[in-house]
Amino acid sequence: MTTGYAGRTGRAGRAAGLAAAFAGLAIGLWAAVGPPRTAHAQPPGGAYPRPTADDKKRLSLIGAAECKACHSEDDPASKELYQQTKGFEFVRLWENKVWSAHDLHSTAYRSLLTDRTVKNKKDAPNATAQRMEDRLRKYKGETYTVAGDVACLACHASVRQPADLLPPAAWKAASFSTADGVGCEMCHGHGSLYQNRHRDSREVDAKDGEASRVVDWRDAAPGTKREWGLTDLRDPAVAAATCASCHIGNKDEGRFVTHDMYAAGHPPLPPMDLLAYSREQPRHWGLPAEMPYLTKLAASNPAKAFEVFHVRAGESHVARRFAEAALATLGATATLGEQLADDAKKKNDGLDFAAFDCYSCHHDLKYPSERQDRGYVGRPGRPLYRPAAFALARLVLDHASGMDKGEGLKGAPAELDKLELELADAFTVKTYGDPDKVRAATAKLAKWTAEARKKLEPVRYTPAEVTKLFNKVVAAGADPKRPVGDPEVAQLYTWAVETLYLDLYKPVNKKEPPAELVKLTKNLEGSVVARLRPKTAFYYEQQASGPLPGQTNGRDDSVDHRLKERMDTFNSFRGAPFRKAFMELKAPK
Amino acid sequence: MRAVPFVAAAVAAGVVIGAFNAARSQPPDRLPGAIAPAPPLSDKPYGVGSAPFAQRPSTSCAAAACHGGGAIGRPGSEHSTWAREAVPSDTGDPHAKAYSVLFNPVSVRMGQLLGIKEPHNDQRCLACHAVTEGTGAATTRDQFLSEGVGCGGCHGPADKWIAEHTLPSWKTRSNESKWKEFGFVPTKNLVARTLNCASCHVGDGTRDMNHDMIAAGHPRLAFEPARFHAQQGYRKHWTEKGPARDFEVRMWVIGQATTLRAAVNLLYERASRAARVAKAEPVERDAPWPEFSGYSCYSCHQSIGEPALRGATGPARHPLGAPRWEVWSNTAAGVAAETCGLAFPGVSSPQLTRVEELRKLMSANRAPDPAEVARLALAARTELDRWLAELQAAEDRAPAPVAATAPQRVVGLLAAGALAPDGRLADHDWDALAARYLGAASMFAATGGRAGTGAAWADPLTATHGALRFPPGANGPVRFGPPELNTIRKQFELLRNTTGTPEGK
Repeated sequence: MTTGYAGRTGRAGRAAGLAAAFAGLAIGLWAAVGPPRTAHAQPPGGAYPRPTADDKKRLSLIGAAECKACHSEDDPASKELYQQTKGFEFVRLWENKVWSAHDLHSTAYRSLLTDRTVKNKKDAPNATAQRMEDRLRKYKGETYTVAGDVACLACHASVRQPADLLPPAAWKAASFSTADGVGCEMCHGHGSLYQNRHRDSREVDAKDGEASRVVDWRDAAPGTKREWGLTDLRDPAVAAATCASCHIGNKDEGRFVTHDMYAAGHPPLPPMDLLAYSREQPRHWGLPAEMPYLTKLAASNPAKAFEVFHVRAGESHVARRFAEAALATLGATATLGEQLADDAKKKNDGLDFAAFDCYSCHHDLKYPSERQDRGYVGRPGRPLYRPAAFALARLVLDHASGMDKGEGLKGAPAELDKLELELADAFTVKTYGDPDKVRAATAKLAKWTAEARKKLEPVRYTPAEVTKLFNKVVAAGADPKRPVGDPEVAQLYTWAVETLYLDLYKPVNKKEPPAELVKLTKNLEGSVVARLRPKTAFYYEQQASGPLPGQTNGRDDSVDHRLKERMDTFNSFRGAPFRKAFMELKAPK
Repeated sequence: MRAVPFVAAAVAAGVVIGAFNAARSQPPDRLPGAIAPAPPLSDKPYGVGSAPFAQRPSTSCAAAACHGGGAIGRPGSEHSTWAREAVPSDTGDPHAKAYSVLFNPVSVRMGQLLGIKEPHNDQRCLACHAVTEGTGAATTRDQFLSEGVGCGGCHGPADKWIAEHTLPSWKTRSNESKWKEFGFVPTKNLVARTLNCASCHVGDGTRDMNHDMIAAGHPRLAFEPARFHAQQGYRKHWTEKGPARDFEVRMWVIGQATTLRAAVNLLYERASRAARVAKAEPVERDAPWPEFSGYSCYSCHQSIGEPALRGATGPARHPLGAPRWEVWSNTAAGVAAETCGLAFPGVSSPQLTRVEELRKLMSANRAPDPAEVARLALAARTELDRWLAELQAAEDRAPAPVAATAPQRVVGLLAAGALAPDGRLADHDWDALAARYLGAASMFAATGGRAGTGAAWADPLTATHGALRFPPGANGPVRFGPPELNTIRKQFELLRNTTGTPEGK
């Protein structure tokens, strides 16, 4: 919902962002795991050392092949190499396997290839890219290729250095490594400085069955790790902002899908949901509850566990991540809105159309019109921001304001409504938005979402509270008085109930999907886009071997095909079946 | 409905009107009343603006001895033919129910969405749904309203001419003096007639049906004077002078010119209002800029995910992803300009260079500078007015008959222009294709339909119509995809080839 929406990439691109974000996790995780090495001498217990200014200038891309050396294990627990550090209790160590088998981020660059740029025999041109390139040549000249366009590479490849060292304005095609598509480091941070450091270990006295070497890096403060290059993807806000860079767009980071790109054929970016995106990525990392190192730390040193890993005993990490990410996503959208308003001012033109809700304009005209039945926010006939992020953030805040220690959020839902109205006015007072007003409203909104997110810190997402939040989302989806009319809101609600249901659900075994979610998927089939990869069946955690369930192969599916399936469903959205499906939903016992 | 006139009349008009009517909302049916002081320059057509005289209610015209003879379709029974209540069937002139539709559920909901309490009492609606200017006291005003767009809406305020027009001396007066001195709209002159129609069916400074209203439920406007005259079920209360060929060809050419002129004028009005807003000068009411209703609806209203269609192919260099200004009124106007000498032998084709500049400016960016648009729109309007003044004078001179070969030439140009040099359609925009189709359908009517010399065009036109028609329940060209476009391409190819127009022209 907000204004400046925009920039995610299509399937492929999205994949990229996703991958990025999540690959990030993987790396981060692995970071602390590798085989024992002799450490740079470090005072045990002291603060972790920080890089020098000269170190920082050398921060650059190392490539997935380097990460793979350790993060590509089949069964790390059985390997001698990891016994001393017990790295497999901290991270999976098979991250790269899952990523290269399933993750669309790894194909992000290949999605740009056309008959002019395919070199490798095993690659085929991507029909979507081909169409875009053919069209864009009319405007950009006969030597243009999408695979050589930095605006495309920004989200479809790996930039060799971070933006503070290599600013987007200076990007050339050669600034990007294309080998891994959106590789590990696009989410986890450029690796040249932490590559060795994150696995350095030193010997300690260990009791039976415990690690005999510790990796000091693991418990270093996230800010210090950041200085060495590692992005703290365990922080939901950081993770959401990392994904959002491509999947929503961030002009300051050189990433934004303009309406020109869409008009040339770029697939629309779906609404962003951190948890659903990472489920479908699929995640290549263990949830904190699955990693003994983290569960033990949460019990033995709660303050450290939260400060470093955002993990708390007795609280659902997933629910907290979901809630904080909902606000961070709204914030990222607002930030893009600010950037687009500035851009419009500079060009003395309206906001880029990509700032608006695509479906404000791109809908079939029907009689009778559901839009007219529903009514409009503000004046009829003026395009708005995308509403979905607002809808989800409002539910999260509404729930949190009633939680123990959530008093700080008492007025938050009403404040959010006010901010949304202000933005609606900024968008509709002029045909393509009033840049000054949009700037003011989005800046306010970005700041406010960050503050509201901070106020979530004291509350505890206990199972009882997660159930309440689940019920709140269900009630919002089933509400006949305020029917959900926007397919993206329906999509986010659907993902939210899946996230929260799975968090509460205790599977008997990990083979059978929860019956309640199977029923939901069936009820929504053909009407709500519940899967980013069409027809993917349910899974708890995808392993490296075998295709994603329901798919012959996770990646032989063309972008065109995925897009068609998605948009057919999207365009068939109807409120009634969605409402009915939500009415039938019950929280797990 | 499958009969001969079907293709030309019903089908053609059907696309526009029928298509919008698929919505079962009202057709764009309002006619204007009066307008502002006419500028004295001779390079402007007369009949623009409103005559500053008092209206007379339609009952003044409906005396049995005058225009209320009661014999539907006969001279002397014009009012009876026009009025809906004169016969049991509902086939009267839609103008007669222009006011009553303001009470229907669509109008009521529009009012709710727009914050208009009573559409039947709001000048934004009444401006075109009734005659309100020069109607005097409240009691008579109600009578005027109930008549919808009554006689005065199209014929001009009658106070000064109601007596005069029955005298023998009336016939000796020039059309121009009837308008200027008496406020009588000389509707026999097709330029004067269509300019008057366009003030509502396109809009002007005081009649601005914008995208806010469309979003709230008003049908879009898509004025095509030639085919509006042949609208299915429309009961004309007059007969056209001269042979059908002359009327159809001239009506089409003039219709193109007036529709474009009205669109440019409306743009001028909107842009100058927006320019005043930009300078913080007071304006009558909230004025969006740019105004969406001036752009092709289906530039934006197309669903995402149909890769073959994304974006109209458009003129080669049209900016990607930008909506296109007035595809409806611009597409065929060039052919009309090129062929106006066929409609009026001796009239030469206008140079529409400012219009072309305006088109460029309107697609240069998303929110063009209103002051610049206003300036250029005014220049373009002047250019079009000069052309219209010539056509109008030619109409008044009783010109030489239209040559039998003229329709074929027009069809050939319309069809050839639809195709790009590589043989594909030059433009996928529904409005562009519909405008060409409607022009060709007018020419088909000009040749006498299936029995005439253009009989070979009947099948291609019918097929084109089928491909353009909105599917049931749709209020736009939903699923207007490669099969439809391919059908249309083939038909234009056929039309081009049967009319012997050289390829690439």
